[in-house]
Amino acid sequence: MSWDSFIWFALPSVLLWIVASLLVYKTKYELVSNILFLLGISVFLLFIILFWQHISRPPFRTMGETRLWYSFFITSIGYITYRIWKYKWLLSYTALVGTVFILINLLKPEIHSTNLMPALQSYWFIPHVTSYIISYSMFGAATIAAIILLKKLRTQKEDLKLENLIDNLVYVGFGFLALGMLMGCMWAKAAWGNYWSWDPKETWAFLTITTYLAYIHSRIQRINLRTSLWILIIALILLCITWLGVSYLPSAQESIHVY
Amino acid sequence: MEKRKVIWQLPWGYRESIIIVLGIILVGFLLQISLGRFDFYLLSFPLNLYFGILSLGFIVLSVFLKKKPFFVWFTSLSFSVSLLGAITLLSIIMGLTKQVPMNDNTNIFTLLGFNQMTSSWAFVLVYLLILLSLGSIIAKRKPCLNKRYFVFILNHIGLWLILFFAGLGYADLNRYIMYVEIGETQWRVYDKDSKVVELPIAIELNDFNIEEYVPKLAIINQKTGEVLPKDKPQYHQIDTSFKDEIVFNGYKFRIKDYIHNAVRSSDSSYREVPMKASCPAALVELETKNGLKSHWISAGNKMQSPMFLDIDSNLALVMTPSETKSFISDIEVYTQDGGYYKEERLMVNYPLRAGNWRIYQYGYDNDMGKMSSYSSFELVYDPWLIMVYIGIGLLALGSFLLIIFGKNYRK
Repeated sequence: MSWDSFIWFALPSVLLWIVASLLVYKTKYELVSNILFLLGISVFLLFIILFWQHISRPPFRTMGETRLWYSFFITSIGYITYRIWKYKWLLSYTALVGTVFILINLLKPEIHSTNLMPALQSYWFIPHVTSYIISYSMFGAATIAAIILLKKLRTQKEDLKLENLIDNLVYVGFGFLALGMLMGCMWAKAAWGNYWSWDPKETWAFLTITTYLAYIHSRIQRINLRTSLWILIIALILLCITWLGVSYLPSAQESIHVY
Repeated sequence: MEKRKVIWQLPWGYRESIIIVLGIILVGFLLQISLGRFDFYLLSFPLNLYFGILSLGFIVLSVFLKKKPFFVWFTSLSFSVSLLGAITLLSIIMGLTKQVPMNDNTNIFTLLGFNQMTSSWAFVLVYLLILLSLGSIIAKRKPCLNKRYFVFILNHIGLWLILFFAGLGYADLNRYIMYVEIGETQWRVYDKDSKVVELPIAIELNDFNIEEYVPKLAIINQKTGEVLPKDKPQYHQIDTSFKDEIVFNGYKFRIKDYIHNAVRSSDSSYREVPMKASCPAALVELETKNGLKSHWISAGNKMQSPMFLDIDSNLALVMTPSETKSFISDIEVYTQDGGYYKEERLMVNYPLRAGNWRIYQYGYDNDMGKMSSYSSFELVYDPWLIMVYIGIGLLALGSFLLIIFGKNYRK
């Protein structure tokens, strides 16, 4: 099974995921949705297995191949997290991200043959990135909820349910963020002998995580809710700078994370 | 209506915490201006050990005096969050300022150590306070058998171990670069100041090899050397299973043969020779107006000249130089105390552990590529690494439990 057949597995998977992530909102069809989503993951996994056999080496050499794993893991972990926490949007979200990676592979075939440089050839690569993507989705959702809550608070309405939801999303997101960071440390240690070297990307990741820590502790202490919610919004801005903005900073022109 | 607490009236809250933390940063700035950067190497063994014991003493003391207003405040959330805010603020400055290893020019930013943040006094003092406060908080909390405490203890002790051993152990961490010629044994290295030193550890390089990816094909303009199409250069990845006809940039061709380790055997042919001076070559059959045209092409290297296929007087089909897939050293390691280690495939991402040393594949002679006569290694000596790893393990477990448990609510 070569890349030529990818589309015949990718499209059914994408279709199954999309239908599943729409049906999940209808309580009557939740079971069907679960089955369809898992079926989508299975079809996708089947391609990976057959492809692996075809090329007779682990599919881990090119950018295109690592994207296969992103799609697989993001949907799998998304499904498990949805099962634990019943966040239906998470199923739709991971389906979307999984689909984006598939589309990149379908629409930019040259990516199949972009070879990985030695430093990227590590088993930490995929879990490190996947863990971060999931945490970003959790924090994104938490921030949207925080903005809604801030608006509600203007009219003096309390919403304990929403408050708890935000806290929970941040806790789960923080778990994934910390795991992603720790895996990054292990990878960095194996690749260049330093688990932490205050590279600009690392510095920004560090201050993002301390800001989320500040939120978590401010909530344990139950300080003014509005202040806590604003910390959360600032944290997301810092997160976006870490994720997308660091490459543009003059302080980061020699960063090892900028390719 | 409840009257607002007068500042400095006990118990201290955010206002007092923020003022004290800002005061400490100010002290840091003054120290920086008067003494210059904080020299971490002052903290090398055994001074860091004494310092560590002293910090542990402080933490134990905090347990006995936990009812005293000072320690109530020192282990309070207000102080913790203020410290988090301070380290975040200093990190933002660090994230926006280009960090340099050597401080040469002097303006107000460099005077305050902003371009060497992690060794600035303000940063070090805040780090130290976090270490002490975090330690006291862990020690103060009463152990109990619920999952809340379990998650708390894993995350906090994990973080504390990392901060404690990474911070205090920093001065004991040494990194060296060693260059070894194939067939030779070396124990002299360059230290961080590029000075040659002798180490109690020696590396014998038995062999060094580079594995390369299968190269790509491109069509170039023979006059300008530009890859076609001009605005968006395209490369065709050679498929070694020689399948069907390939249509590339409007030209049709087939790859009839491919040799990864090829050496030119005549003017127009290659054969397989597994030696370092070999390079990939492919026999390509191009469809032209005048029928089929077949020719060997190769990117060549320092020893072999490149070969390409003329499409017409303007264009040529060429092979790109191979990209490095991995570079691999076959080494044996001897230590002064009689230790012996062996690794046939030392490569990037797969270091060799030799006691408290870790040996990393570092580089080779880039100009010579596969024919490099030496391999270079980075040797990292880090006696406290195991403690940091224990911290990382605990923190990872704690993070995993955060994902499973989320936030527990009191009903």
